[in-house]
Amino acid sequence: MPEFQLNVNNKVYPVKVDEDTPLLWVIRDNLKLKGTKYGCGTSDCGACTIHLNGSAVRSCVIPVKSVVNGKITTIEGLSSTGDHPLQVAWVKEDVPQCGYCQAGQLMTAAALLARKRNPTSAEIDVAMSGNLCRCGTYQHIKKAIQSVSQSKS
Amino acid sequence: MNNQLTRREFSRIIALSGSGLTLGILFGIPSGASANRLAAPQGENNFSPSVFLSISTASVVTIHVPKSEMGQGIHTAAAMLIGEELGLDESRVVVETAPFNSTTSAKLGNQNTGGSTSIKDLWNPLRKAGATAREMLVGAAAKTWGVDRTECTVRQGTVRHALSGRSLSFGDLSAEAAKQEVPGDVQLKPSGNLSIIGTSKSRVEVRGIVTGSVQYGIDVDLPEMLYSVIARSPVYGGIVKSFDDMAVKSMPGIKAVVPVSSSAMGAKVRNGVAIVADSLWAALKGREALKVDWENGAGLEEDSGTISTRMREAASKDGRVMSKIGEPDQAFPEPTQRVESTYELPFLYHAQLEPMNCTARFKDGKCEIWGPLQFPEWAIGPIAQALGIKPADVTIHITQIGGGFGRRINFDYALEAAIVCKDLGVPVKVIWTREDDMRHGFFRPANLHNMVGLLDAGGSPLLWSHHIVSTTINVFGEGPNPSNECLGGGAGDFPYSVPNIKTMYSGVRSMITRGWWRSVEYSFNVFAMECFIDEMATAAKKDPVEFRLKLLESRPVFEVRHPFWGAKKSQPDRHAAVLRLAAEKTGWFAKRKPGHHLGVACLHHFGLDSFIAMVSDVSMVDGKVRVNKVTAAVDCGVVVNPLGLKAQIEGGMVMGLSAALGEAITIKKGEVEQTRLSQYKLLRIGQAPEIEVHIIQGSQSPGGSGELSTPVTAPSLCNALFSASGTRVRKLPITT
Repeated sequence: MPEFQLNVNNKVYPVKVDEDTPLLWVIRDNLKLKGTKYGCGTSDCGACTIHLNGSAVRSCVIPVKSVVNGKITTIEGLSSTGDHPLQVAWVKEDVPQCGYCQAGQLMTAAALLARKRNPTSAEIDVAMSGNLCRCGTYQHIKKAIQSVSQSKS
Repeated sequence: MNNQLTRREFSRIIALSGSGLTLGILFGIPSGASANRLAAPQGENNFSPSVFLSISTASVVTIHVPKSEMGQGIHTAAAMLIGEELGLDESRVVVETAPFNSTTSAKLGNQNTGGSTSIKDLWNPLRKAGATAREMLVGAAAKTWGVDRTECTVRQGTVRHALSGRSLSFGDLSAEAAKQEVPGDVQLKPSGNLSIIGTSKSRVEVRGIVTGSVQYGIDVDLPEMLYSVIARSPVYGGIVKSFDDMAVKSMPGIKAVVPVSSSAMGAKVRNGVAIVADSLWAALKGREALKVDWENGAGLEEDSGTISTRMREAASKDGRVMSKIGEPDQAFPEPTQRVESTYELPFLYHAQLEPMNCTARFKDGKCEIWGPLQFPEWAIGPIAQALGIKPADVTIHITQIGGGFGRRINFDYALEAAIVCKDLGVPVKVIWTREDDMRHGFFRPANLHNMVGLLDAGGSPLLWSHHIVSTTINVFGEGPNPSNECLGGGAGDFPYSVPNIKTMYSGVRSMITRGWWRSVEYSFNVFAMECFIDEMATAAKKDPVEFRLKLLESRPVFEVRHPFWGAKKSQPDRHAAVLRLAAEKTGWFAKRKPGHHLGVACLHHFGLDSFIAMVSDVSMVDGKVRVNKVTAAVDCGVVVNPLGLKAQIEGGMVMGLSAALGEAITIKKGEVEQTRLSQYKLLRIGQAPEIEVHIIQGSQSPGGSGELSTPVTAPSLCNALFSASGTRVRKLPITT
């Protein structure tokens, strides 16, 4: 079993796993960072979204061997104390219902705002279109994102 | 049904551990017939709601809520109800899901979560628990100070004696409070004096959710835990003829290969072969390498087309008469106007985002289960049976649930975990991949409705005839299950004034596993009813809202007996009030904005004791429908948390809209055709309309809300589409 050094949330973790293992399962089951969720394994739902070198990616379809030189951020590393402006906005807007998709929603939204401070409504729709919410919190997700992007401008 | 509480409704349970006050609140009477809706045959202990409340010497107030949190916000509402009576901010109440075993079920009663009953079940018990604890704390303070208890007040975790300026914290008082006599009757705060109930509160778990620290079933992690995936027959009803695991056993990480027999379990799980490994990835690779020879029986002939034909055949004959008013079969004197329609709706998938999973450990004759279950009471017996132990030796720990929607009423995945872990001595987590979840779901039954209406020359209805045909709900195997062949909700309660009414029901056989999907049969019966009443209004050349109002208000109050809900009376005033409010808020009678088309639907849900009217505002853009805005008016009686109620109405609406616009499970040669989420068209953010929810704050006991908005969404949408295009949608989803 090969050993990999993974840089996750600014910490280096050595892990011994099969090189094809999807990054999602390494993060969850080897590193015990359970905030990143499994929803589909086929990049259809966005629940497993993390940042790889600052971009939002679906960790369920990325083999661990392909990220050894990458800088990975999970929901646990989005902020040190849960006070990323989007996390604050999510709490204020009371976005979640079951909450299962929300880590992925937040990670996608955070990557969007990092590259575009003031996305239009249509740009938010495009960026967030890969993240499913079965509880139907979309309207609040959008409001929360807009509250952050507008307050920045 | 007797809604009165027994005289000896409270009994003190010995303090659990450590010191402080622990109250076990025991109720011997169900809070209403609703509690029984989905319940197994009643026993003494399996249906009454109650709660554990404890106050530690460190002033930590903890409640163990006998309901699963699956996004409906019950833990927040529970904290609010306790906080209200204890005089404590809801944020200072620690909420935990009660575990389930024979001890807790004897003391806590009904721990199942379904049928939109969480608030209905807990409304009285939680307030009584809070008030009882308050009285005992006050009693303890009065005794400590040697003063009259009426001179003591409770505020934010302390009891105060204003005359002497003394105060003691709940923690200081909890040991003394535990020695107090449990009061037989306590006064609840009067409705005019509430400070928490009726105010909007954020979810108690919201910070945990946004930081990723809330633990769902799939996140359970135990020492020595192994992972398992199961190979199940892709064809419904298929069983393992033989399997070859030679290649699997030598693969890295593989720990065991375990056959899962359905016949040994009275067909409560699917037949299959489990691969157990030290990682999920190893288990998945092992499953790929496993060779299984399946024996496919009659399931191979199952096909969406043949199911549809079966339903049409059944609809062409008479069904079982569910309700009959007047002389619906008479020869009506001419002239009459006849309206006739057939509606057909598909199997639907829950698509809860957390796939099925469960962790189980069997050691020293005891079994522990950790998982996202809605109905632990149904699971515990079969789990014990699978392991050859008594139910008393099984404990179920319920985690936060990543979406329930009725799927987790079935407990097949928990039973699988128990079977797989049986000989291993260590915890095993069974995980379903999304493909497993889609292939082996418990789908909303496919259904069809034959509607016939007659109008007299003046446009007044003479006849309403509704024949419901569905594949019914049945957990495994073929054929309608007689005990569940009563999917008449909504139709039997047809609220409009028509002199001759007939509703009939026919169940048709199917091999496909079918279950409870948010709002169950209301999701299809109300679609047919509210679309067809609109067709009648059009035929009568009447405004759809005015037509409905007149028919609601001209019918005297009537009573219906539902197999689950019991006897319920119509409430035309509340029904009409939500309809009027929705019309008013959307400018129904005003001049419409160009290109905007409105459609309406409404419902008095007799089971939930709640009312809703919904207006959809749509436009046609390049020949496609765009839903601009959806407005709902609701009356659910007293509202505990308006923010939570709005979320439920919005969520149920989005689910209804998603289903109407794109969702369908289809079957070909006994297999589900949709095996990826991209093949099952769920609503995404760009299609989500603006939603407005208006609440009528009633004074009646709280009604249910989780399943209230889903049934009216598709009909309000399709009625708006008719207004936009002149074409009636009679088959869902709209896009196929």
